[in-house]
Amino acid sequence: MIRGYFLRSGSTVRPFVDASFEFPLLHAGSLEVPLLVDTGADRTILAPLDAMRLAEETGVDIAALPRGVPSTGVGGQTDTRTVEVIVTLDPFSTPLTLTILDPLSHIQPIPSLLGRDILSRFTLIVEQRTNRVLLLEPEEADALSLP
Amino acid sequence: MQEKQAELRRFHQNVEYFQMHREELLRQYPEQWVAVFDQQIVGADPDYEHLLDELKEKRVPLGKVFIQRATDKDELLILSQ
Repeated sequence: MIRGYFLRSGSTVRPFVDASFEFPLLHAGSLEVPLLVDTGADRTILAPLDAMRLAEETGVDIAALPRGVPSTGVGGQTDTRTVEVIVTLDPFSTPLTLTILDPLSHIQPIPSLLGRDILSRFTLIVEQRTNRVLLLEPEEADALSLP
Repeated sequence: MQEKQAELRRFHQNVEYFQMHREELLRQYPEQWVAVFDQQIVGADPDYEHLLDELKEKRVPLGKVFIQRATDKDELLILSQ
């Protein structure tokens, strides 16, 4: 089971899960990131603010990474880059092609997103009443005998 | 894997520190980006890029630091991609 948490901003609370990204091909260190649980996001996304941390810490030139499919959201379209990573969400770990929103085109104070490329492997429980943000492994979800 | 799990726990302690001291941080650093590392405030600035520069000068590991805006303003996030 992966346990997340609610993080308050203003009067709003949002569900987050902490993740650690390793970049084997870049020979860079790891990056720890709070990811907003977003069932509407097709993919897991590294937001510009976290991408800037990565660039500053490791010297990785984000603009030199391979181009990805443009990201379309409510606010319009944004260029993306991709990088191969190993993502760890305690205690789960998997290789992933991570999409990075291009910091050069759009610096917005938005969080990085945990998308359905990872969420689809779990049963997601987000229950603000009990402060629960849980990602259940298949056998854990099956044991609940949900309809 | 155990090392990675320990790193994530340390990172989460910084998130918890921010949450526990949120009201105090709102008063002290209103509308600023606040950086927490090893459960201590290691920097604050209204400009995110300036804050990263400051943290780099202090040799704070940017990959491990938790940075959050201290704000009581409501913002509507509608995200998808």
